[in-house]
Amino acid sequence: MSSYQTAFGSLDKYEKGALTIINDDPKNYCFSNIFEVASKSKPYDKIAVGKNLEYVIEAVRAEGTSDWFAASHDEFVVVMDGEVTVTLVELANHSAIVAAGKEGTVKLSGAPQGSRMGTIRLKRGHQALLPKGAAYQFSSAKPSVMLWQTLLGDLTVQKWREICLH
Amino acid sequence: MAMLETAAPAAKPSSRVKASAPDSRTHYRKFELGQFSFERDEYFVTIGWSAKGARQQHRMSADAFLRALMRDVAWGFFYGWVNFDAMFGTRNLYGRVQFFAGRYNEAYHKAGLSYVEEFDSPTAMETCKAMLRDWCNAGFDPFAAPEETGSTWAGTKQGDNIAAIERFRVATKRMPGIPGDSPLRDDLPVNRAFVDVAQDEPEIRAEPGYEGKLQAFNLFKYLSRSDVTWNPSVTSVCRESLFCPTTEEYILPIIHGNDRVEWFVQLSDEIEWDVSDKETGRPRARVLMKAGDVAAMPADIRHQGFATKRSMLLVWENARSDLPKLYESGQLKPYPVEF
Amino acid sequence: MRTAAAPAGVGGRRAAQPDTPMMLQSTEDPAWRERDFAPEPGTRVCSVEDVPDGMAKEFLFGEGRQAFRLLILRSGSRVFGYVNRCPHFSVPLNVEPDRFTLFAHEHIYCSTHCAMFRFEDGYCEDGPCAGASLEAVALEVNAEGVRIALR
Repeated sequence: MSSYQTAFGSLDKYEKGALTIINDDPKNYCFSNIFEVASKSKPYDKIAVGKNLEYVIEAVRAEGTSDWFAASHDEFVVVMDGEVTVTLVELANHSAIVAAGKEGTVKLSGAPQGSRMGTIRLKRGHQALLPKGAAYQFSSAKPSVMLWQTLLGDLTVQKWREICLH
Repeated sequence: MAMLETAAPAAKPSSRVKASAPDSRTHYRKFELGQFSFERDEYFVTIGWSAKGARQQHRMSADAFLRALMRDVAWGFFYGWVNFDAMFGTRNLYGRVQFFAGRYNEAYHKAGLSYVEEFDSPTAMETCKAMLRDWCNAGFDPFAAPEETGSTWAGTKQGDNIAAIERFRVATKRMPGIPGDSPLRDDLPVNRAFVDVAQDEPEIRAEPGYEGKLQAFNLFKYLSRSDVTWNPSVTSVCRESLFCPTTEEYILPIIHGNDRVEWFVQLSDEIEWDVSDKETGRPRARVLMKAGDVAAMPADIRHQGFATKRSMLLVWENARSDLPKLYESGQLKPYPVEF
Repeated sequence: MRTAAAPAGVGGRRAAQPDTPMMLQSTEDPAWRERDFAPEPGTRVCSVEDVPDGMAKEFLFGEGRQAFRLLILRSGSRVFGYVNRCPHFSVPLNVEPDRFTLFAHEHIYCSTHCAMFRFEDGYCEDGPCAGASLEAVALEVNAEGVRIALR
């Protein structure tokens, strides 16, 4: 029997690490915790926890049913806690919904027009492709946490001073 | 080696490896690369170079050298500086590679004892691969944690472990598991440290006509079945934004000085990072990351991680080719966000 | 050094007819056609002489960082087209414009992490993505030069 216990974090139970400064500025490390961020977020607000020029990773509290989203490029989500169902629709009018070259996630103003592709039910540790050309909606019966890989866009919320050690 | 701007092709890289006959006592070969010399005995690798008119030497434990060398070979000299320890390492110049001794060690460099030499990357790579093949004994896997592999790295030459050092490599175009893309690891066993990790897959319900078009996989299961440590591999490609998670146990075999900002997301357990100045090696910070923590590694530091329990780490890279020049010139600040 | 046998249909020589294109690459993965700014079939790219013999040259379609990057390798009268994107980390094989690392006529290396690809089929023989291949783009040569092959 293995004696190893793998420690994952969750909204209900997480431990934050620490930053020991010897000769540096703590702000340089942009140190945050996605469960702490999600515990204080409104459902489906996309809070940037990582930024590398135009690319971001966002911590998202998934709770209830979201709006419909799309992008001009692939995006990815990883569920870090809980359970999230993604519904996907192949957009009939992708270029009208998302301008070519538009960076980041866009929110649709209503239900998408197109063919329903199906659903993906994601639990902790599961990763899904949110493909270019599709619209997607998330639903979660209980508060869950997703990590969203995308480009900086209109929906990205940056509040570094609030979430990072400094 | 031919570059576009020079018309004359050089000799094949593999024919330029300078290796001695096997030593009569240890049976290991000695190698030369430019002015550098490399030799090993039962316990140590000795690196030689010339400075201040005399031959200089530096010694490191052979297992540490081989673990570092394995990463340099597997990652094609990686991004930026791959420090084997505080003295020796390589710097990727992308098509060319710099080998250095003491250059980023403040005391050695100030004393004029450091040395740097540049090579065509393929030529240098062939020498590195030849060293790895000759110096890794049977039973020693430089990709494994010490508890998982033998201590046969020590001693005189005893066989080899080609299978371990030339493992099947993964190349991901979009996401593992997508038809035509890199495979999932269902054929590999769950690592002893992750037997409690759930192995369930996402539940996909596709409408008629969309079978095979919805893509998802269990990333934590995928990582639980990795048979190597400290070896990032791509699991999602969002233009130039790459998720490169890896499983970590014991010590990162290199002290990595990236030539761009990178980010870590601790997916499970914990890792502690020693962070020091990329140029001088002076300590700057210690970063203890636990599950859910996110931190940037600035572009002007070097870092080395320590993990007692095998942990899952998401390394997030921006693969833009022009970044090293932008950071080096100061056009980009070495930290990612100002607030 | 072992020489890989050229796949059937690649690099064959036949008497050139003025308006009969010579198909120089048949093992193409059509997925590249879905990329942003992918050139249309029949698009003229260059003359054979625009690519130095034994060497490589890049041609861009579209603008910005999402431009389609076409890599053409040449050996004698044979030209081979690929999407300039290494399967290892999805980066171009060159880090500077038209500056490539290669062993003339035989192998081109990705400058980032030293993956080594064969000229004639883009197969990675060694390096961090050994066993993978560059995405092939079928080309044709006629009296007007090198063009994207017609479907």
